[in-house]
Amino acid sequence: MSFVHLHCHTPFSFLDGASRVEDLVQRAAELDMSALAVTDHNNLSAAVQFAQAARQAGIKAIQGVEVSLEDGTHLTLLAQNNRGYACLCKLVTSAHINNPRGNPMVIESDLACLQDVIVLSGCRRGALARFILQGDYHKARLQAEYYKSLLGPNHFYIELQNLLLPGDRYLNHRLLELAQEVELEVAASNNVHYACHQDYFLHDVLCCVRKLCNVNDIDPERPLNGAAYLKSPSQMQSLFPHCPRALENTLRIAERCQPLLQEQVFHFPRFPLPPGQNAAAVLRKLCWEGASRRYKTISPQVTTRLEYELRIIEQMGFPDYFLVVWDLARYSRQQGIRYAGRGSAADSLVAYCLVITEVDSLKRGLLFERFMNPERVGMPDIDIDFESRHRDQVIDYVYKKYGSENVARVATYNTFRARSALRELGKALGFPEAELDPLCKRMPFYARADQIHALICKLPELKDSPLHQPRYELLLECCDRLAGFPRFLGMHLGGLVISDIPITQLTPLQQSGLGPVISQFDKDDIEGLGLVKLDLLSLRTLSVIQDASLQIQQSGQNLNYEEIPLDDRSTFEMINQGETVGVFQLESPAQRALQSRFNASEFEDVVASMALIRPGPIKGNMVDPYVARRLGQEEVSYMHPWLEPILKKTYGVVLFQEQVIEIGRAIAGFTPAEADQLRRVMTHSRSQKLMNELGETFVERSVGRGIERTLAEEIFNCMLGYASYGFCEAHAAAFATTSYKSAYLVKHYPTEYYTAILNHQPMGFYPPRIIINEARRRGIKILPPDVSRNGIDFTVEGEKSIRVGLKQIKGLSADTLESIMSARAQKGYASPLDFVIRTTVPRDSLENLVCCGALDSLCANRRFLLSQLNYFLEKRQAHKTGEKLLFNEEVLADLIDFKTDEKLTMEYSLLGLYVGEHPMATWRPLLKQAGFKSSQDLRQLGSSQQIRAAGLLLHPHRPPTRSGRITVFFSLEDEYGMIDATMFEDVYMQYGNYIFGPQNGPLAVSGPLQRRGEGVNLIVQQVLPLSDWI
Amino acid sequence: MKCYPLLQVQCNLNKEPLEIKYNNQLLQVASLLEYWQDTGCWWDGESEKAFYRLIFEDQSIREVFYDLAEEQWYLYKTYD
Repeated sequence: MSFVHLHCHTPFSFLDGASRVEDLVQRAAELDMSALAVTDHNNLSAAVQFAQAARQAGIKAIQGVEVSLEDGTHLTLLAQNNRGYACLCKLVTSAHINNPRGNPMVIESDLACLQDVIVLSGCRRGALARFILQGDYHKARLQAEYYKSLLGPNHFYIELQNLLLPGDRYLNHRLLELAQEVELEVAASNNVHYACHQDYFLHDVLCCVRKLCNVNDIDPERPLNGAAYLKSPSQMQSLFPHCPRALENTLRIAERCQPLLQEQVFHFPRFPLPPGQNAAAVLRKLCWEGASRRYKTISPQVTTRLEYELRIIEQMGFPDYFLVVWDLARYSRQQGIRYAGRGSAADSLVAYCLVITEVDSLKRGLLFERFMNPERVGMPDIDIDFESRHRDQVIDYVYKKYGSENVARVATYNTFRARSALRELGKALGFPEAELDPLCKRMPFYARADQIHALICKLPELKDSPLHQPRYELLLECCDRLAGFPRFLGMHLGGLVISDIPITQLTPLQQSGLGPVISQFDKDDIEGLGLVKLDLLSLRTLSVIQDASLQIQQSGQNLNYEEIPLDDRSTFEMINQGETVGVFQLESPAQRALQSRFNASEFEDVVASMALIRPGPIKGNMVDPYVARRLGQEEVSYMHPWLEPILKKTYGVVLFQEQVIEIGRAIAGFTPAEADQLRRVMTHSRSQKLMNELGETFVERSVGRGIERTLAEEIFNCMLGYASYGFCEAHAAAFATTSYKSAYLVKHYPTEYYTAILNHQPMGFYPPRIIINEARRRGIKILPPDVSRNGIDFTVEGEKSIRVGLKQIKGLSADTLESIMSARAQKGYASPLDFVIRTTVPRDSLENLVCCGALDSLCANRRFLLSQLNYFLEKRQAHKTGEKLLFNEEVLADLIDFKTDEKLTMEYSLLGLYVGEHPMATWRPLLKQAGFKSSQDLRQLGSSQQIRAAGLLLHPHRPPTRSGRITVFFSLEDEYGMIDATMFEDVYMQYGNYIFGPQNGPLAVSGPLQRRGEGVNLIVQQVLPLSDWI
Repeated sequence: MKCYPLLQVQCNLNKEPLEIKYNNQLLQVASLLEYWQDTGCWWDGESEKAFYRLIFEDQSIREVFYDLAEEQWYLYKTYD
């Protein structure tokens, strides 16, 4: 006797399913089951992963869903074919969209629209079971008859479950009776929530998380036992010894259901064209027109390349897709919205001619196959950055143009990571929040939930963590087992799909927490539905560039951003000094350190910089050789002459993903598809097995082409060092354009550029106080906020001053700001009292304005102003009501104002930046006496000189290294700029707590100075809080 | 953790109790009224149990459980 499970929950039954999709499928295959149905709560998110896993395991995937009805009951629905699947998508969409978010409900009458769907009566929460358990058999019978007439006897089964709960025997006895009376078939299921019995505890913990209770609480939704696992056919038989038909029917149902999502059927968007025109022809025309504009004369190389790309695009069926993207770029230009195509799309000359990207792929020798490969069946993926404030306008345009029924935003799966797992699972296990909070905060934010154990053993700041204690063992096990489990669906920030058919035929939709409607699939799974994704991303740097450009033009200076020369010497000089705070992609300490060694002198150097400071080149030890060869300090050599044309532009070093493809083709004779697979495995895969197999193939093929075996192995090993995410050259080039041009603006128009950065926070690598410090270092004066002068935003004043915007002041609402601006627009403020009377600023905001100095121009004595606030507010009230006050303004004679350091502290706490003196400036006399050097001093000092320095800690981070040893990079901020520091593992083990633990004021460090090129770096040997040192 | 009286139980092939020995009394099971399993306070180390609600030939109703870890039978409840 065999059996298949038709009611199973994956982790996409959020906080309910306790086994991964692959584990459920694998278990079903181990039990020799021919099919499995997945029926998550009100979503189909597992469908693509389930189909893929089932195909690999050789079992049939039956797509289904367990829906909630308006009366709170459940039904199990199984799609028989694509039409049935489409019905499920629409039904689930309706359940979500027509009800409050998080509470999807199906209207019972909507079930009549189901076609090619088999319905099971559900678990204990099904209507039939519920009525019987309530003692109302008659109602159960009426309901059964209703379902039978609504769905048809062949499409409705009474579901029997024996989960070894009290009442199950009685319930099943009565359901069988009902089935006989109403002449309906029965089907057994086990309401599977996990693959194996021993996983029941995970299910219980997840239920506690979902119900916001802990294991010591009683909740009717918590499972009583561990029976809801993927039981074997013989185990199911022992549960239904007197009803073999219930088991046999599961096989009959499975036979009636086709496996879905097995073959990829593409649903490319259709670009609207007038009748008689076809997309391929229109695309060609636009490309050639674009080529004429891009090139003065169209050379044979341009013709050959363009023809080649257009042929592949047409062959793969993507002309419409390119027209869609071209149209978006055109719309953006028309609307004055700055944009920049990025990613592998920049490998395409078509994209360049259509003005989607600004990278001339032909000139750069970029491979079209990196972007689109005729031998690799897959979707092109075009990413475009838009100005952050206008990106949503572009998305709205897409919805309007293609119809909301054909467009959907893509989901993300919000999963358990270390901090969230510790917190939520910890609470479920009964740990108090006060105990969990510090444990969570000490965990690195990037850590996965299955890394906790390794991290507490490895990281010095976690060595004394209480998590080592046995009482946390169960918690850590739960974290490990539930790592990566989805908790809820979020919205991918830029991902969008456009379909040629109504999208609810392919994916259910639901509301996201952010508001827009999303598909139930993430960016990877949505491709499995045959949908092609666009990434319309938001980049604040583009808004900064736009604002800065406008400000520059408005001040009468002549600037055309598009015509910024790519060879400005002074810009390169600035880059080489590492003075790139605020420069797109070049401002991190690692980048600044690189630039100061690199001696960049041309645009290609900036392209290389984009790719060098990445995990791939760092772990592959490419950075130092590259720099040395670039500077002529090391001979450029190639392991084989065939590598020279590929690696010449990167001085013999593998730097770009395209180079991996080219090496695969040139050395081993790989086809474009094989070479691209090599690239994919090397840059994305974690499979050692796959890597080894590819290595063997590479070596064998190379030997076959006359290359010595040892050399072939050496070449492959060299590429292996790159086996982590490296950069696509096209992407590097696209980014480099924005990067270089932003550097140009920083160099020549720092006031305007930094003002724009400050107005688009949060962004970039550094907080506003560092930007302000950097601006000050460049001779720009920083003016405090002033209610009499400035606007809400940061503004340029005069030639070289930035006025801090009122919006920077903590606690000021939009209404408050509006009140200040509109009152002042009528007439300037004559006095503090006048200000208070004419605005509606509440008391706490008034205090903030006074304390940060925004009223200094009206009255410089802040202590006095604070003492007058009550009086001012009463005057305002009296002014409103016409009342007369009984007393006049109280003047407190000789009220001494706050001291400078008190004012600085207040300003910093309210503005988050130092308008006045930097706090390190107050330490400076003491520091000088004690022999400490400032960031300004370091430039004059020699390499290896032992120094002491101090500053405020900034951006400590631990990027991956080749050796796997921990190296920490951080900066110390002082009043003159930043000191970049490196701390190796042995020192980190001793002092890591000061870097990654709670911060209390400035740090003091000592160690030798390292000069590399123009840059200086402190190799840290000792760290202490400055207050301890001095 | 509450202590439950230990029992000696004879079962059929389906592991359902046929007779129990308790307080030197031999009680014959008339029929099995209900069966369920319970994982208990697993986080405190409690083991999984299988419960049987039985009606005996003397018309008394008792609940007994089998501790799956200890492999022992215990008396859980007697209905008055």
